Amino acid sequence: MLGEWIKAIVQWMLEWVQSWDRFWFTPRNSQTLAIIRIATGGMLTYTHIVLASDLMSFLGADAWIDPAAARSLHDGTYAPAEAVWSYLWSIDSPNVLWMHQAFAIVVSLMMMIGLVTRIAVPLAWFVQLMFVHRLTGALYGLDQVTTMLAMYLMITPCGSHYSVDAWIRRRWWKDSPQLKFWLPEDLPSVMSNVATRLAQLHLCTIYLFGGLWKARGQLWWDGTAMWFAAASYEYQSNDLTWIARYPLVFATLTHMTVFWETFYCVLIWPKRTRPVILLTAVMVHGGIAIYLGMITFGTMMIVANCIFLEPEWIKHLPGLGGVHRRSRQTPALEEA
Amino acid sequence: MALVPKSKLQSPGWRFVFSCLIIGHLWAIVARPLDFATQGPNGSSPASGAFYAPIRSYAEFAYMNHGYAFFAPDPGPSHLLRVTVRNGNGDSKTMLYPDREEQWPRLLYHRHFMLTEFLHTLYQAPLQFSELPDEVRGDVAMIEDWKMRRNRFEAIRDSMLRHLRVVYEGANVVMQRIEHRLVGLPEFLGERVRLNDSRLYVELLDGPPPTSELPRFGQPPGVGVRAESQR
Repeated sequence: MLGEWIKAIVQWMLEWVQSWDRFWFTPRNSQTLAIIRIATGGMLTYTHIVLASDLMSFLGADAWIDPAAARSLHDGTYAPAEAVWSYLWSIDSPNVLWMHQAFAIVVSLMMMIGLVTRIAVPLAWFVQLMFVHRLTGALYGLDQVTTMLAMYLMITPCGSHYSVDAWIRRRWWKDSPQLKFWLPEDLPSVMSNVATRLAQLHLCTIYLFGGLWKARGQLWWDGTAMWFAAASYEYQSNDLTWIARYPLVFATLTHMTVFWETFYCVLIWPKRTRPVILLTAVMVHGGIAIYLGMITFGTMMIVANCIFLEPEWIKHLPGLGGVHRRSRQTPALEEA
Repeated sequence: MALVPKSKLQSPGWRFVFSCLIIGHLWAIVARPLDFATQGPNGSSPASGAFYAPIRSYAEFAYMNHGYAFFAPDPGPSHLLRVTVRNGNGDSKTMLYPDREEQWPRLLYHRHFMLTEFLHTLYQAPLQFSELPDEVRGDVAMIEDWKMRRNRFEAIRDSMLRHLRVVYEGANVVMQRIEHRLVGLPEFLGERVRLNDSRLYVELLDGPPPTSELPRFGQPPGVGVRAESQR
């Protein structure tokens, strides 16, 4: 009897290990990551250009939060020290800051077009980290999402599709084994899968805690939160106050938002519910982009949700499949 | 599968190493939001604090140390800065930060908006030792923490003031914290109060908190003051 119990437990553990292996280490194509690379690189380029339009107010010696004050927020002066560092705390020369800004824009552009991607993406992520640790106080969800996506993209061969790298490889160095890492072929990769899974779980965590936080509020329960979001003048970009006349509409939207955010982490995995959850994500974040003045954040959240799109589906989209004739199928990746 | 080239990651040893790294990263993804969500007036729950501590440095450096409380727990008022500039001739000009007309594109406006919200988040009322009740005066850790928070607020406030003085070329600058309150449905529909009605803009004064009792870990709900309370 005891032997059977032990056998059953060992069998259960073996199955668990196999499921873990399948979930994390099944090679995956990189088309989805390539699309996300283009969008993230584009958004990083845009944020660096916008920052450049008022550079000294944010990074200069007399910035809103000057370099010394920014450092003091992290180095233990006023709170337990954080494991945070930025070389931008030590730079106050306008010339150096302008050169650095130009460098950041070029690196992000390289990430977007997929030029020397294996170097450009880690560099873009690192430069972005230096910015976010310097710009404490001026950041919001947009910066969290772009930094997160760049972090996962940098460990993948996301330059293998829709990139200058892919074009160079096809044209000149098709079969060069020496350049396999630098100009990755469009083959399924374990690292693409690891990064995809991490990004998916990260996104699930974001929504879960977003939903749990809302569930602590009173206005998300009594149905008026959506009205108060619409009534926030500083966020407003298009007038949504007409919704005040339709309590059934704003209350339903309020409850749906909490439900969708909280249960996103469960309902995004089954293939039957995934399209509904993704469509809701487009509507919620599209609404934030159009009405609540955060077009950049709304756009990047929609981009982040693309991580749940299968690469096989992406490559069949008009204009995205024909170029990459050699893409190969991975085995079925989803169990659900 | 035959088409997929063998890689190091398909060997059991590498998978084990990568599995450990993955578990560590997943820990960092979850630990900070959990720690943030369990915070009370005196810090996070001891359990979630202990769970977060080993992975804290990694989460901080990788900028994964967020709570993800977007528009939560409830949508609230906005916090702005009213800046009055007086030059040597006695002329004065008043501006409100952020300002959609002045800061464009929208991302730049939003950066300014986050700065004014940040100053509000950091706000800590000045500590007036003589007004504290006896049992609180003996709480050295609490007093020290209060002072540090107040110093942090003053450091950022002063940095912002210095910035404004440079922008307005040495003019006399006065900075006021403003709370833009939300209009309720009855006022909006019945009294036709607009979102930017002047009555909704309230100045937040810098003064000691209105009550003397301070929060302690383990106190029942409703006892103690909110540290961020305004007078």
